[in-house]
Amino acid sequence: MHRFSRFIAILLLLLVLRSRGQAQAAATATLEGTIVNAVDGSPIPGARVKTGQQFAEPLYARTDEKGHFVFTGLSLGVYYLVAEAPGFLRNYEASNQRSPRGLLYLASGGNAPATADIDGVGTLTRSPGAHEALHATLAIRLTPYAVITGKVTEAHGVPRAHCAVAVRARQTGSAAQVDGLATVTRVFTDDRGEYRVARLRPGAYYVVADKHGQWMTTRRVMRTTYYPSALDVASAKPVQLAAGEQVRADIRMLVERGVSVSGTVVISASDSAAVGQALSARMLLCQPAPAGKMPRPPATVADFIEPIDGRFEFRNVVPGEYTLMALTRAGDDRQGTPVSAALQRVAVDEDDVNGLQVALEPVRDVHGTVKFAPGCAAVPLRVTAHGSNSLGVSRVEVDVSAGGEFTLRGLTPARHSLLIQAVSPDLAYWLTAARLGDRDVHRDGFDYPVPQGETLQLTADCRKTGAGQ
Amino acid sequence: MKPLLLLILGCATLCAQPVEGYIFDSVTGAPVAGAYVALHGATFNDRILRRSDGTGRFRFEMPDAANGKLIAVSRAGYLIAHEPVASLPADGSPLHIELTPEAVISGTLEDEDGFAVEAALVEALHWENGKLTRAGTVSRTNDLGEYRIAELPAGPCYLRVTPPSGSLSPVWDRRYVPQFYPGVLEANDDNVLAVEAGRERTLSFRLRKYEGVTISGQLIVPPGAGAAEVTRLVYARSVDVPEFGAGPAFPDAKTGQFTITHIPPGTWVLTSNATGGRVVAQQTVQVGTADATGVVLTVADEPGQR
Repeated sequence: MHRFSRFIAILLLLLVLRSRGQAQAAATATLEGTIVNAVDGSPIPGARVKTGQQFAEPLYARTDEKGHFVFTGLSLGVYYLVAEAPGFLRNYEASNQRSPRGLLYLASGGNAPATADIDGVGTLTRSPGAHEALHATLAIRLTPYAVITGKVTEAHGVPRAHCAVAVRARQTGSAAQVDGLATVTRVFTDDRGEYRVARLRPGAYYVVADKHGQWMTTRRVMRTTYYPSALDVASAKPVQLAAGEQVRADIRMLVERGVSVSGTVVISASDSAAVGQALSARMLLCQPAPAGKMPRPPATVADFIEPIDGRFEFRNVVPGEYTLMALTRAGDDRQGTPVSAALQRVAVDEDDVNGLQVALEPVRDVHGTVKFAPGCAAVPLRVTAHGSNSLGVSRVEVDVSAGGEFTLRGLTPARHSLLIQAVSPDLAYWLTAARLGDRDVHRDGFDYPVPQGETLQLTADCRKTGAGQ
Repeated sequence: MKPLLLLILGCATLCAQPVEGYIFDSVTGAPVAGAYVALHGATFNDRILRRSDGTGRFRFEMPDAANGKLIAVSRAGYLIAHEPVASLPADGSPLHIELTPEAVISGTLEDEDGFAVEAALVEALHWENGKLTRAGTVSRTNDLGEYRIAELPAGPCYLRVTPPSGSLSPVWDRRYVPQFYPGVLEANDDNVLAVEAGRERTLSFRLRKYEGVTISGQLIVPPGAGAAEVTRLVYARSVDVPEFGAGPAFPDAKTGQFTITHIPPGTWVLTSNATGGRVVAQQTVQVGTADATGVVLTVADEPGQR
């Protein structure tokens, strides 16, 4: 595209040089045009335009209320043209150029087309047949630019000053890094940790605060952190920008070395007595699951560990909100029957978390009932609770009699999603509502262990046939 | 910006025991949380880092002989404070370190069209040892023309604006030459500013266009001068202000003729450098209200000459 426009420009230049020799010395050109908002087509008053020939003093103009500008008495030749207005990308920036590359051919004669789209400038229309006084009209469309602003902070809400903030976007080609992103632009935070990145074209962007600040004393303390507080692109949140939109993206930086989270697991004697054999225990620390999603794998957070004598420690935990999960199984392998479990919220800041008491509760059965939507026959159903984390995948199925009661056994600590289907493959039944206690768990699933005494209430719907359809 | 550097002498007495201290705001007296406190050893990488807690407290447990040469304290919003070395208690009682809040100058720049001046370099200069030197941080204006110079020490200073020179943002109009607040070419008693610790001063102003004059002439490369690679001149205003109004000019490859437009009054130095930066020709030009024509620079034929 650019190569083509440059080719055209050179071609036009040759034509200019040829026609110059033939043209009268007094021949001049008038260049007028309009500048409009590329989004809604409205004229942009007060925009300013600069044009000129290389090495010559530029000429300046402003648009009137109708977005109209005019240059008169131009000598024939090849011109560049820059148009700008507050809040808009410059005419050449819309095609991701750093400087104007498209050139205007202002000369009579030759075989140049009457109308041409000039890359990065606008659409040029030359009046046909004008010889002594060439008249050219330019239509320029400017796109409002988007802006990302934000504040970069460390623990205690202390602003991160002089921090390099890069705005990155998915890109293919040589500019892209290993992670498929290329840096669009880079700014530094001020002494308040505030930054502002403007002149962004619509799109999705990742914002990343670099650990290498300007302060030598602090550069090793923080980790390069993506918005909002993520260590890699996969867990970062892209910022979606429409034309002219301004979005705030505050970044909480993560520390280079995390803290220790330690405590004791309380395994009740009755548990081990009930099983009558050795127990193996596993724990892990997960970032809490966003609504409707499984907990993230803990690999970036902390490895799960085996408590020794009921004491446990996670090292190098970076600040954040976590879910601590624990599970004991009968025997010393990972396939043993789950015996007791715990699920606990832990908030980690910049200080060690010591003396956590994790009370394991016996793995409990979860009872529930299924109601049938009006018009649906009560048929045998199968309920599946599916949970997954590094403690293992748990998939518990139970067949429900037509009476509607069921019991899920052997669940492991995790966020579980629910599914129902008819036992008969010929019938189509699905879950339309699910409550645990007084909570809606239909879309997001439920966390196990559940509070004692809470039961699941499911509603099944079916494909209705016959009357009414 | 430099962190507070606090030299600990008398390490023999200090190093054996824990170093503990508190950090306070010198203006409000409030404790400063989240300040970085670095205990440096013999090399830069050999150091222990702590952060002050909510009460401004920090503590180093075990500074041995290899450590404890230097304490550096830094915190966003504060600047260098000089603690008398002798004031460090040798008996292990807590240190009392005061951080002085920065002074800030912020504002918005616009040009004569009322457009925001984007990507301009804005800096504060103050007198230090008889020379104007930079104070505080350097700021680049954003798309709204906003700038913010932080970490300024209290005292008099000047505000200098260097409009974009082409690499970051295209030059809209070269008549917006580098200038001082509020749009003047000289730093003098009329435009000196005063800032106070912990205070922010807002200065929004309009840059002025200076038509200036034209300097033209010729760069002569004598046969055998060995400087055929000289393709450009650098011009800079010769005042006791660093990097004021510098820019490149490109002499014609065949004739050596050059023209530099929009040069405001003052003493200007034209320099030609060979590859590698060696100065091969230099000429000083006094610019007044008339164009300076016929300026001739002759490349020295002595290759080693400076």
